[in-house]
Amino acid sequence: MQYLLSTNGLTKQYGRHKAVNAVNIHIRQGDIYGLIGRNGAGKTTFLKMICGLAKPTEGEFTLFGRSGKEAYRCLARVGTLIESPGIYPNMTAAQNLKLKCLALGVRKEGEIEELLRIVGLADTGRKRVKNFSLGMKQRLGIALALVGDPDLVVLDEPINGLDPQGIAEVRETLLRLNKERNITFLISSHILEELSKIATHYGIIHDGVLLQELTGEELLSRCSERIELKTDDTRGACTVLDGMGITRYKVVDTDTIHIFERLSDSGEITMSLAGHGIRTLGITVKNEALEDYYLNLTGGGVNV
Amino acid sequence: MFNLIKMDLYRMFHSVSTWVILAFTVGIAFFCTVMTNMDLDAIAQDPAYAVQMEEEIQTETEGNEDREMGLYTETDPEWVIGKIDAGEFISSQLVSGLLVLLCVIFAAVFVNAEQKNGYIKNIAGAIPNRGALALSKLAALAVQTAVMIALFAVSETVLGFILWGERFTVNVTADLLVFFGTQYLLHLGFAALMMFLCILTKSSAFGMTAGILMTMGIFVPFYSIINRAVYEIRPSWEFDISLYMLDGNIGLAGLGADADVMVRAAAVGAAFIVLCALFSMLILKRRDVR
Repeated sequence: MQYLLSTNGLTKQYGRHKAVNAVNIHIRQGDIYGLIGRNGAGKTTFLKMICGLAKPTEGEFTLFGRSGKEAYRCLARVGTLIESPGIYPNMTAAQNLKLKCLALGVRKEGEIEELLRIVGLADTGRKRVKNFSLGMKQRLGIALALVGDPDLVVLDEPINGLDPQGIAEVRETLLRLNKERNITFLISSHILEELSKIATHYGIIHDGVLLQELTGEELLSRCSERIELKTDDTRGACTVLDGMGITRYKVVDTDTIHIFERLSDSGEITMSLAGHGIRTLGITVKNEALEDYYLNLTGGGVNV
Repeated sequence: MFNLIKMDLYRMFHSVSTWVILAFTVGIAFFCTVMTNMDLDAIAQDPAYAVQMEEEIQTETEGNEDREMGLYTETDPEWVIGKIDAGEFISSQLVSGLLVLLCVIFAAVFVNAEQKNGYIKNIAGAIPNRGALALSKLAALAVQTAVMIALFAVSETVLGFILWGERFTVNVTADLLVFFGTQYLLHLGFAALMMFLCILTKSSAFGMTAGILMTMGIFVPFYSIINRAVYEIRPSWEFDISLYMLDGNIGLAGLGADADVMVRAAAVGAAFIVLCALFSMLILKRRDVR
């Protein structure tokens, strides 16, 4: 089995709109796979399909080496947290976990206490979930996803609404589970900086289409370089860049432009600007932030 | 499947709504008994009221032609001085549809909770047949309905003894068991119908409102229109659609009703349970979880 989960042209169409369009992702055992995309990019719809909550319009997925109907039989080995945690507010955390244990036939002694301990909710006792903070509810959602010792855990925006401390706690929990239990994670998020702290692989999805699939190292290397141009006439500089055939650039502020192509041509750019009477205050090659890389890839920040 | 039933039973017994509904069941049983006692006092003081009661009872047992909207219970004028049979007394309350109202409310709240709070997302993908979720809910509703009917009967019996002493008698007969069995199927049929409506519309408000209105007899005019239409097409066929509906049968299947009435009522109840369960399973299986 090369991949723990792979999809083949997975598509979901609502009416004429393709929410997910022929997505192919590949996840190996032990990966922490970050699915990056804006709100409405199709992340949740995609995750719902591979969790068996929504039927694909086209395509299929292979799970634990099995495809077609056989793959659906393996979904008991997949833990899920899709969108907000689905919990009974009038019950305690332990009772919510007990329900899922009963549904899945999990009879392991001390399973509920162990899960509560893992997510840091061991001392909630008889407190009802409706009185939990958002972070506690999110952690309970993660605990629910871990019921039954799943091999793959799918988490949709698990750090949504969490404060910095909560985000750090969830991050540490996921990393620990990945290392200690070798659980594979598929995590969707639009908070790239956070995802970059734990993910080993990335898939970038935009308008339902998977634009790129790359490893953490590849992403870091691709984020590496850009030309940062400082000038007192950004409007004029843009005209010059357009004239040079440079299209992948971004005006960051009133005197800064980031150029993402022809990184070795900074001298030529400076000369051309001078030729048009535009002063260059500074020109340097710099690393690109993950967020900028994403925006450039999805067209969100180019020619702003 | 068995795991899902265990899950839904666990949820049922740990839900506040379950205990609230059971408390209301006892409350309504006490209320009905006290109201009957007041009726008996009124009959004892006004013989004309007794004659009116006799006529109403006669009309109710003959068919649904003169069925009115609302919930009514009858008090037998003979109970003023004679023995009050517990079975007949409970029958007069159950056929009014009072307990159906509670069944409808509970079913709507219980079935829709999983969709409303999103818990279904935690389990729907992990179970081999998502349609089984409908059967597990039906099993929980079956238990709750049985508990409600038993609690209602016991509460009325206890208060009956308190209010009327030795005049209140309990005779367990085959007819009584048939009556309870038939009413159980009809009440569960209502609960199953609510389950189907809630799953179909994803709205507890819709299911609850439709169920309550149905119990109150709001569909009587529609039945009348259908009956008239059928009569226009085929006058020789004495068709009455209400005889094949849950609300139409609950009022007729009282203790002492004819065997064919009881058989038809039981069949209607069972048919509704089976059909609603099947359609609910189908919807859950085919529809995406949102």
